[in-house]
Amino acid sequence: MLRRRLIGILPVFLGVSLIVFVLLRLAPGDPLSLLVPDGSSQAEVERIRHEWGLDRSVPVQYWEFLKKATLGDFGESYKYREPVSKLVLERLPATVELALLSLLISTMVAIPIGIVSAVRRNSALWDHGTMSLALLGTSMPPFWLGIMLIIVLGGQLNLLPVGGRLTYGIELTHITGLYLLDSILTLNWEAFSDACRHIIMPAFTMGVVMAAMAARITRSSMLDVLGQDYITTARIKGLPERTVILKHCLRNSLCTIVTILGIQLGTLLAGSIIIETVFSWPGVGSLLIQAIGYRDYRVVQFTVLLFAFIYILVNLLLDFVYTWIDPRVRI
Amino acid sequence: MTKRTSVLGSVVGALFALATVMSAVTCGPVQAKEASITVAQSIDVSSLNPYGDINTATFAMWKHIMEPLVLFDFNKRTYYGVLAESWTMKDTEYVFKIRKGIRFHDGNELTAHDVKFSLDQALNSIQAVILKSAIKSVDVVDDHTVRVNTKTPFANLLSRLKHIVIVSQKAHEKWGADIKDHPIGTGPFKFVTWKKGNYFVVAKAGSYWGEPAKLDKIIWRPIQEDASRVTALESGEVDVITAVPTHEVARLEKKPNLRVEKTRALRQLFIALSPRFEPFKNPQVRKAMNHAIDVDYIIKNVLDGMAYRAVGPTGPQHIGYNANIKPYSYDPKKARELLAQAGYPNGFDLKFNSSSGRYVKDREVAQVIADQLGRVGIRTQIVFGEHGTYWSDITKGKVNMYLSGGFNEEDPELFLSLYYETGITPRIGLSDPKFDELLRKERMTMNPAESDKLLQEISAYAYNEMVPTISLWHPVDLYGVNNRLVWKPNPNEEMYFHRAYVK
Amino acid sequence: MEKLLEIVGLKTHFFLDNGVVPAIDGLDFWIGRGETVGVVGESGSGKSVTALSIMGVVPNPPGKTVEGEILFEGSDLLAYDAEQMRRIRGKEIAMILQDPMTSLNPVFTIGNQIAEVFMLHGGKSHPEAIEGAIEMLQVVGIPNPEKRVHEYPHQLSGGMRQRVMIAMALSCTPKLLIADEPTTALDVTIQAQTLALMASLKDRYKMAIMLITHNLGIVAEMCQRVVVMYAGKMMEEAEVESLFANPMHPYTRGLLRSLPGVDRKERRHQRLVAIPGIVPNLLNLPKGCRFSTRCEEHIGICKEEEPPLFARDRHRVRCWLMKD
Repeated sequence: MLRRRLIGILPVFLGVSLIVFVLLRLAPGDPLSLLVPDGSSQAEVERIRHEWGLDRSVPVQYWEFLKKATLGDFGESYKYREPVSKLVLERLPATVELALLSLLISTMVAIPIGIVSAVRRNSALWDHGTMSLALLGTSMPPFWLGIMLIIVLGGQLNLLPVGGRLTYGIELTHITGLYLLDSILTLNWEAFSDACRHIIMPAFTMGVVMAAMAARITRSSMLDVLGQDYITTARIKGLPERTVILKHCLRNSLCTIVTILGIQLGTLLAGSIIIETVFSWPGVGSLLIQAIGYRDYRVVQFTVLLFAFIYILVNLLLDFVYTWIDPRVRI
Repeated sequence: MTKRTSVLGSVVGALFALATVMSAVTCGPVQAKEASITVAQSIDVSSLNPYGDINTATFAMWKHIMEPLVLFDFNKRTYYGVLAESWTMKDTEYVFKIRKGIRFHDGNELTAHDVKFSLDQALNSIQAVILKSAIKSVDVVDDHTVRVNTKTPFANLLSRLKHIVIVSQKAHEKWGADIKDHPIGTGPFKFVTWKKGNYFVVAKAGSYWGEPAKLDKIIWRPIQEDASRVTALESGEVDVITAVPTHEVARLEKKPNLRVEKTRALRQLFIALSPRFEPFKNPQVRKAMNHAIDVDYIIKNVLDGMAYRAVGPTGPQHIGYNANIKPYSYDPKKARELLAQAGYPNGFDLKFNSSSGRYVKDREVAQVIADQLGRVGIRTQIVFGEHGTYWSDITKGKVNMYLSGGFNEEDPELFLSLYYETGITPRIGLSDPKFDELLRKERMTMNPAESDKLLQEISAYAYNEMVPTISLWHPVDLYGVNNRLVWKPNPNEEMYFHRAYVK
Repeated sequence: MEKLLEIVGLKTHFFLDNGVVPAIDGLDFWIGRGETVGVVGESGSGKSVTALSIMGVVPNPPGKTVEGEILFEGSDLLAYDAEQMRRIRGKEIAMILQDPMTSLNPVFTIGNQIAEVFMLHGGKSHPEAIEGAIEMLQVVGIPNPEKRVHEYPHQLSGGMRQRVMIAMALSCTPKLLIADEPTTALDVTIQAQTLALMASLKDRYKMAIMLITHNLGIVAEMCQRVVVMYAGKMMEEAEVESLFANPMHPYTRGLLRSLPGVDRKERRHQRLVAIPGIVPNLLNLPKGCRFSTRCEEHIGICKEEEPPLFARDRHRVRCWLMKD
């Protein structure tokens, strides 16, 4: 079963790479006009066109790309003249760190709220109140929330920095690339608090938007479970209500919640583009949006495939988690 | 009851933990005793290769660490030697005498070999386009003399050379491929560190051959979002920001610790009119369009006065500025007459490609222009384009009427060549032999006074007779600056902090 | 006989948006120690709500026990606080639910679910509790208990699952077992087995059973006394032989008449006699006796005033016809 799943991943990658490849070349605008300096001679332009392989037909280009990609060679960025894999992967820890913290914040906020609003169904504060907040959260564009936070917390109250990952002058040994982790591992508390101050706003922005949806789904899943007979059984056994909710109910809701986490990963990856740009966060998302603007095909291709890979990998892991939660599920 | 308290507990606990962490640093960014400043702009260098980028902002950054042969003084309006002490220009030979006794940051002395090495490096990089059309080869005459051989006499060579910084050949030999970790120059600042996407830092060099810098450190940070940059300036996190949004100017100026520096930009906004489009084949039509647009109105009402009307391809800061050209009057009646004479008594339909968000208020400007053209019978349809698509099509000659900005060069020759000269690029596609001849002659005129006169003639001719564009304005570049920093910006958008200091 | 459980004037109402539903509207009966009492009625008669009220797990909102006493060994359960009630549930009074397919938690092993009861009420450690669970599985007749104890509910059949429920309920030897339609969801053959099991366990553990069902056949087999409920009130109460031999309330008679009589020759070819009409909407009860709208024997007063319980020949009957 598992082997079949793993084999099934390959066509997904092929499909994604083909779609990205073709879309990029179909899109108007070409990298040569944008990246070859203004005033270059026609001969120079043609030389670079040949160097980038863009003088060949699209199917041929795709074939060349596939051949090299299977060997792990994704070429050099048109703009930066550096290997694309290096360029993107060195920015990956920044995006991963932000994503993980956003997910943590979202989960810490959403799951308790979802549980309470289900248990205290129809309560003015705990149900209607929190779900209205959740509705607000899903309606708020992350772009807007991010800028508001920057203006208020960064500008007017002067509490937090407006961008970047670390203030110049703070030294930090690079181990994993996740600054929070690295600073803990090296017991560097100055770097830890500086990194915290930089990451808290973008993580909070992403976290709030995700929490809103997660809370609603947790609530709905919990309500579903609360109505089940086996919950009545648990109660009549004499179990304290807290055990009934947190052990019997929650475990059953977890399947739905875990599904949400998987979907939210997609939101995270897509959202990273906006959040990283607003907060000047040097991750893969901000690189991707710039690369699209420059039509740096190779960077875009690699990044999209990377995102697809991450998405597939995480969802596969979540499937394993399912089997651990719900014994009726077999991978 | 227990459910509620446990939920409240976990939420409060989490917030508390975060607050504790945050309060661990009670003060904001480190305000050092040293005189350092932070500059926020929207882009970053793409690598530690000084020849790896070709844009204004990065040129300026590298010019703190390394130096070119010459630079242009906007006050005195002449080129002056930086690493070059003197030079002679004759025919196709430019001979530069290199100053003696200048040392690189690693102690080695600057020689002509370094100059040749650097120019060759540039010729093999993305910056080649600046030099290639002019330079044929570079020779070392002696340890302190370099000769640049041009293909044809090229009086504008200095304008090109001012962008090429000089690096150390010995350092390259020593470090080999690792040279990119040791960007060494002769400048008043030395390289400290670069964290991609985060900050680029230079510090005052131990010794400098010229007037030493007054700042201890400069930190450049790339912040793309306008709102973030402005907020960073207000909070004191940065000291200088570029591209202040026009609607923020009044608010920032009210703050006692901030000011907004305004410079008249070299760049000029214009609308290109390509004769590929049938009605534009007739110069009367192009003149009519110039009369149909009320530029002063647009400047006053759309740009809040933050621009200076452009009359011809050059402005007062350019070399060869012609102050005597009369601007086209806003005269819709005359426009209609000209159109009728040209055979379009009922006007015609037009597609106008405008950029969107690239230049200040470009969308609004395009709409006003379309409206004004409509009043003289030219029914205009605006097409807004995403920059990548927009620019690609323009450089391929696929767009017949478009809004664009020019260059930040004090010497208009590059602009005139790329846009007006026959056969160089298809951006406009106008072909005027008299213009070509004048420009060719100008290139060969070594005497600055004479070349100025020629440029003035070219400007007048281009504006009055050729009319390949509608000249709009020179925008006002807006820099947000903290008052602790004493500094004035240049009109070519290159920010130098060599003479800047902190009060 | 010593009264183990006595319900006095119990009223449990459901407060809905469109009105108040008096699901139980004044119920009195008792169960003796070691006795099996059947509670019979159609859907909506209030039998399940009675069970939930005793256990204190009426869904609130919207339900609430508004009046009455539930005396267990003399103490009123309705006066207990949450902690006291918790100690009763699963230990002194246990309950098994109707649908074994949904009453067990699918993500925990059956061993763990039974062990939970041991650990909670018996103070046992986890390994001891699992041992106890294995023992209980044996008691309820599940083969291979050492293996089964680590299995999940979905790996067992419906009949087996109901046995697990029974095992769970009996782990702490409760004094009273409430069985809410314990065999309704099972196959006929399994039904017989389950009932036999319950009977043998009752003897073994000397416990009382409150057997809720709509199936009179089961009542005849298992119970000593019967309570007949209709629209939230008790209509008749009697010892089982007496009820079947001499049903006094028109509703009881109607119920018995509607049973297919496969055993009696003369009834084999007769049509099934249904009780005319349907159960009234509890939001809109008829004036007077709630059964009057469907009763073929009603007299004038039946539509005016609700009858009290009359004692007659060791039955208690709520019917004006019983008044002398």
